[in-house]
Amino acid sequence: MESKTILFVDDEERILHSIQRITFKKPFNSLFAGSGPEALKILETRDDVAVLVTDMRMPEMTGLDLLRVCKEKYPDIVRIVLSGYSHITTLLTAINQGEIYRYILKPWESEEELLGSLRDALAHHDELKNRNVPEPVSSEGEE
Amino acid sequence: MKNKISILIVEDDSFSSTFLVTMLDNSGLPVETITPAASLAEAFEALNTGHYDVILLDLNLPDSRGHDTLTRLTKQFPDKVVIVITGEFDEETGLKAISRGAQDYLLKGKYSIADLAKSIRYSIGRKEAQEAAKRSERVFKTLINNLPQRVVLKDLFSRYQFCNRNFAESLDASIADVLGKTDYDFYPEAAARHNVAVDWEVIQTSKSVEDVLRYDKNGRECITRVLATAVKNEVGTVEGVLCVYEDFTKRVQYEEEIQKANEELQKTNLQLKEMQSQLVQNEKLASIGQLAAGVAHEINNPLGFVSSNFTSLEKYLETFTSLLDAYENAAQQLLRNESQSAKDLIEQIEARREEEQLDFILNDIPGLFADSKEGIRRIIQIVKSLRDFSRIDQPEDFSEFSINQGLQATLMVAQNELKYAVTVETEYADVPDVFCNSGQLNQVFLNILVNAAQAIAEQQRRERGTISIKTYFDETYVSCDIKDDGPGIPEKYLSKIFDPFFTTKPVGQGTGLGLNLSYDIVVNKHKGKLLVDTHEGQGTTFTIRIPRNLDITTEDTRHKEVEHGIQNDLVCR
Repeated sequence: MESKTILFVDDEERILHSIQRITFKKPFNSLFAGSGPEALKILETRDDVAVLVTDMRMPEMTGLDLLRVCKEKYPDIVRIVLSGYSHITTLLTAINQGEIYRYILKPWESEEELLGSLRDALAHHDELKNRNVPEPVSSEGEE
Repeated sequence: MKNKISILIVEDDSFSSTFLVTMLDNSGLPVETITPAASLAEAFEALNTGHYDVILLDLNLPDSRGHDTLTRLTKQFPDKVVIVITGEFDEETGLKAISRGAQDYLLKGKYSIADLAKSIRYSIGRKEAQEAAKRSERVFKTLINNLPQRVVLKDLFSRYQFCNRNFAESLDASIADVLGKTDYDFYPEAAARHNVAVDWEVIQTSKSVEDVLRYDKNGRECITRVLATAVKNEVGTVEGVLCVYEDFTKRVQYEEEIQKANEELQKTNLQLKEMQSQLVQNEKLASIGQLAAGVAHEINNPLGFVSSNFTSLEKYLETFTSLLDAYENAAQQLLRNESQSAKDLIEQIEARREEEQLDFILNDIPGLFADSKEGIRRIIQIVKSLRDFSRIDQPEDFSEFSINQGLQATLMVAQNELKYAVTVETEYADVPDVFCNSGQLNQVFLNILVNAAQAIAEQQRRERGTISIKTYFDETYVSCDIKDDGPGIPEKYLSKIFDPFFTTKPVGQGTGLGLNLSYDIVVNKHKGKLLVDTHEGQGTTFTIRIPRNLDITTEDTRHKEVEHGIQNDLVCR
C-alpha cells in the first residue's frame, strides 16, 4: 500500500513541531501548514492528502472556512479539528458546517489519543475510497 | 308670614259667607283675595287651580258633612292652613278638628273680628312652624340614616328610644322592630351585660365612655368602636345615653392589607436589589468566565505542545537507552573477541540508528527544549496575569498598584480576544502607584479593551484595527487613555452607555452591565473619572483617571459630580 499523507494546519508553529515529533516514525507522510491559505496551496499541488487536521482559530482564514473550502473542493479528504475550544457552539458549528470526522481537544492527553484518531481517519479514508465505486443506476418508476 | 293673604271661604250659606267677607274686609289683615266656595267640590277645584294661604272651612256642606269634610280636605291638601268654623256649640268638635289637621276652630256667632284676625295670623304662623319642624326632622332623619356609623339613643333603662337605619340593620331588624327593646334582646347575654354596664357608667358619671366591641351580636370577630355619651335635658339631668358605633373591622382589615402590601413591596424591592447585585455578580462572573475561556485557550496551545513534547522526549530516551545498550553489547562482544566482526556489529547498530531515526532525534532535541521552555514561559505568564484578576471579587481589597502592570496583565489575559482583530500599541509613562483595587481596575481595562476589539471586529474590515494605550499623570490623577480606531459611538447612544442594561450587542451577547460596572468601579469605588471622547467613523477614546490620593480628592470629586453630572463626562464630536 502506498503511503498516505496527513496535512496539519495550525498558526502555532510549536504545535506543528510537537506533532512532527509524534509522527516522524509513523507509516504515513506528514505535511505542515501555518495557515489556511498555505494549506490550500499544498492541497493544489498534492493529490495524496488523505486527512486534514486543522486548528479552528487562526488569522487570515479560520479553520471553519478552510474546512468548508476543503469539503467543497476535496470532498474525499477526511476532515479533523484539533482545537483548544471546547465550547459547545464552536463544536456544533464545526460538526454541522465543516462536516468533520473527529474533534480533538488541545491539549491531547496522550500520544495515542492523537495517533488513534489519525489511524481511524486513514482507515475511514480507505473505506470511502472503496465505496466510491460508481453505484448501479437504479431504474426510475415502478412499471 | 308674607305680606298679603289669599283666603278661601268654604261655606254653603251665602249669608254667612258674605258676613265673613265683610268681617275680613274690616279685620285689618293684609288681604290679597277672598274666594268663596259653596261646596267641597268647588273648594277642591279652587285649591287645584289657585294658591290660598288660609281656608275657612264650614264642616257641613251639601256634598260632605261633619269631620269627614276636614279629613277629606287635609288628606288631599295636607300643607294647607285650615280653620274650622262650626255652628255646633261644642268644644269637643273643635278639638277633634285640631287633632285632624286643622290649625284652629271658631264657633259661629261666637267670635269677634279680632278673634278672626288673631286666629288667621296664629294659624298661618303655627303651620309654618310645623312645616319647619317637619323639614328639620326630615333633614335630621336623612342625616342620621346616612351616617356610616350606627346610632342609638337609649333611655335610663337602656331601652332603645331612637336609632338610625344602620343600627337597626346591624341587628337584622327594622327601626320600628328595635325601638323599646334592649341589648339583651339581640346580643349574647355577656355582651349585653357589658354594654348596659357601660350605659350605666355614662348615666352615673354623665361623661362619655369609649369602648371597643371585639365581637358582633353573632359572636363573629369585629372591631367596633363605641362612643357612649350622656344626653341631658335643659336643666342638665341625664335622660339617656347616645351610643355611636363605628365599625373599624374593614378599616383595620384595610390597614392590615396595606401593611401587607407594603411588606410585599419591600420584599419585592429587596428581591430586585438582590437581583441587581446578582446581575452585577453575573456580569463579573461572565467577564471572569469569558476570561477563563480565553485564558484556557491561551494555555491550551503551549500546554498542548509542552505535554506532547514531554512524551516525545520520553520516547527519545527509550531510543537512546536501547541504542546505548546495543553499543555496550557490541563493545563487550568485541572485548570477548567473539565470532562477529566489528564491522558487522557496527552495521547492525547503524541499522538500528537508521530505524530509530536517531539523526532526526539528535537534531530535534534543541528545538524540543526551546519550544517547551517557551511554552512553559507562556503558561507561567498567563497564570501570573490571572492572579491579578482573581481579586475581582474582593471589593475591599485595596492596595498600592501600578496601572501599567494592570494594563500589561489585562492585555495578556485579553490577548485571545484581541490578537486576531487588532494591533495593540502601548506607551507607558513611569506613573506612580495608586491605591486601588487592582482586580476591579483590571476589569475596567478589560471591559473597555474587549468592547473596542468587538467594535472593530464588527466592522469586518480588511486590515487589522489599532488600539493605543497611553498612561500619564499629573499632581491629582494617574490616567490611562484607551483609544481605538473603531466605528465610534453614535451620538444618540452616548448618554446611555453607562446605563445599566444598555447594550447594542445582539441578544445574549452583551449584558449591558460592563460599562455600568466600570463606571461604578472608577467613579464610585475609586472616586475617579471615566470619560469618553468619540468621533463617529473614527474611533473612541476612553480615559480612566484614578486619584493619586484617594482621601483628599473624595470630597472634591463628589462636589464636581453633583455640579456637572455624568453628562459632562461625555464628549461627542
